[in-house]
Amino acid sequence: MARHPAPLPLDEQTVPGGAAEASSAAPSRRSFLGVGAALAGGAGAGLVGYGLGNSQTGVAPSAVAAASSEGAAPDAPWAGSVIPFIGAHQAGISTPPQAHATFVALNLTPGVGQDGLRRLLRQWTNDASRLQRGIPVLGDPQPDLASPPSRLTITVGLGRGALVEAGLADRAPGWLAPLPAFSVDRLEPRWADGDVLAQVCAEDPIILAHAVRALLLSATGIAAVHWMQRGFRRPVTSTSAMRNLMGQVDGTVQPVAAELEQSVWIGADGPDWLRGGTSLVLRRIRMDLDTWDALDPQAKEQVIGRRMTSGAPLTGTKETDVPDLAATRDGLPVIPEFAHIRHAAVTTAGQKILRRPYNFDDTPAAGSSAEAGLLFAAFQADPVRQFVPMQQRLAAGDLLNFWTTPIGSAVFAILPGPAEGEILGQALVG
Amino acid sequence: MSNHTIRAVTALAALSVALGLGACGTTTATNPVGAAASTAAGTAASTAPGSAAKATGQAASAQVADAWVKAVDTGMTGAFFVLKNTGSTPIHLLSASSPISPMMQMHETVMGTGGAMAMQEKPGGFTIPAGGSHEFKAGGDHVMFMGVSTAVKSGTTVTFTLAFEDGSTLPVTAEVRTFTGAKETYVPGATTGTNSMPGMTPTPGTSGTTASHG
Repeated sequence: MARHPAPLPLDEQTVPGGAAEASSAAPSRRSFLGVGAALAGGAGAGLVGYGLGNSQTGVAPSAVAAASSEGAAPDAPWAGSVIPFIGAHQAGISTPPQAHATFVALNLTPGVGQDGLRRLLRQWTNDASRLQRGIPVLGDPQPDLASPPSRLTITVGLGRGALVEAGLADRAPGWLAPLPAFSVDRLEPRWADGDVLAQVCAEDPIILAHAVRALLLSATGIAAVHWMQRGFRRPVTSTSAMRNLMGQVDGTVQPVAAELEQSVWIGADGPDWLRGGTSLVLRRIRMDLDTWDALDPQAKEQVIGRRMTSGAPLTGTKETDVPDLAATRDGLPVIPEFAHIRHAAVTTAGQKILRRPYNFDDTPAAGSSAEAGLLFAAFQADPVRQFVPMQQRLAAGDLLNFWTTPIGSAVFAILPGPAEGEILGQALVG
Repeated sequence: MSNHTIRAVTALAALSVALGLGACGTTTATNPVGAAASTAAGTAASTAPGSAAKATGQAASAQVADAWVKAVDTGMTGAFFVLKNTGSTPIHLLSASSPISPMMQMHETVMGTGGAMAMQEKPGGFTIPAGGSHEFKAGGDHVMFMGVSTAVKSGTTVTFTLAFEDGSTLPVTAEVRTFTGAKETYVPGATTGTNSMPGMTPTPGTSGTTASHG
């Protein structure tokens, strides 16, 4: 165990034939949701374990250790780790975030109709089922890029446009539409909406790129890319906090496992075809790093309401401390009225959102030193109930708005996980 | 058009064959789809459910996995799969038939004169030894559908039936996929040919049957 920086999350299994080792270790600080997924009866709950070394070869852990002591470096601890595809919920939502993500939105080719949507989902189901296990897709032009699986997840959602094209607009929930306009928005059409979404995540960017391409090949003739957004964060094995490119510890407050049913998964009060699914709000938020970097560290901490180094709230000493929004010093709030965490704070499980953000760092425009920001991916059962009120508070009172600008926005219905023999979207188009 | 040689007319095609750039790769040998806990539509064994129990003779020992067919509007296309012999005696695949094609052929890839890889019909079929498996893959051995008259669309399925030497048969359901590799057009009996054409359109103006495969 000591040779790994941190145990892998508990909702994973190794590839068939690979070496598995039951893990009794405590989850890492970032794997709180993995425990939940396993305990909640999520996919693969009975398959606890994680890959050791090159489990593709079936090398036993002891053999890996021996090879390591002889100087042959074992593969990364997550390399052979498989996240199950079959289950009540799709993978890639409560899954502890992987280091790399690509969000790709496609628009259906006009006229393909419900048959086209079904054909796409059938292929993506097959593709995802294989790729998440490190197996090439059918007709894979680059079969050597399919393994090791590296915690790959493929998460599929539908925008309102997909239901319209399929003649199923009457089955779309009310929230499956563009978010209401916020005063801080400067949205660019090139990052807006989309008929079909694939969120593809993996620890290994080569595995990720291959999976994205495989999905796009399957979409040939049915749908075409509308936008693609790539992001990164720390690998799952990192013991360091997720930070955004403003330097802030990011993604601290999350629903705990027991709250996922209320906060994330769509239940009996939602459309039948989405039970076990959720929604994704993806906001592309540009950061003005040049002006942000002009602030002194104390000012940055006042803006966010947390210490830059530790991520602790200004009223606490460590990241996990609950902010005391009522605390005052010399008659003034310790966490300022304009602080980000004050406006983002919610108290009930039903209001919480599951944040799965990724950083982006793209080519700067002429005259700028950075085109960076955050792909703010939020999963919640109902965006209108959960995301919109929070964003309205942030738009009205969050000083962070001076340095951040939403430039992209999209809402997708994330399908439930498929059962054996089913396709994604079975209850809608199957 | 039985038993004549069909030559690859592009060097790229020959190269892809020579390099063994197949669709399934070696992973399928160690990672049989359907063996793992996680399977989904179309990913389990391609042999139709229950068929193994009903099959007799050689077909009872035959197991098909990872079956797929290249999407095509009309004309010709190919089926690719792994055929495993789970029995203790050899099985001999002789022919195939399908509702989407009036004529199916077994094809093999061989080293032709001058070192170029060439495709040719193999009317005798394929023998798979006891416990062995044979990969039918793009750029290699494959089963061809001729004269397809209705579009075969990606994301749908195609059924075909494999027939063995002893008369036993095995139904197979294959996923239809778009495939952009191995685009070569084969011109029967030609020593030179036109360049490749996308898709499955027969080369205009050539005499005889023009064949292509995924």
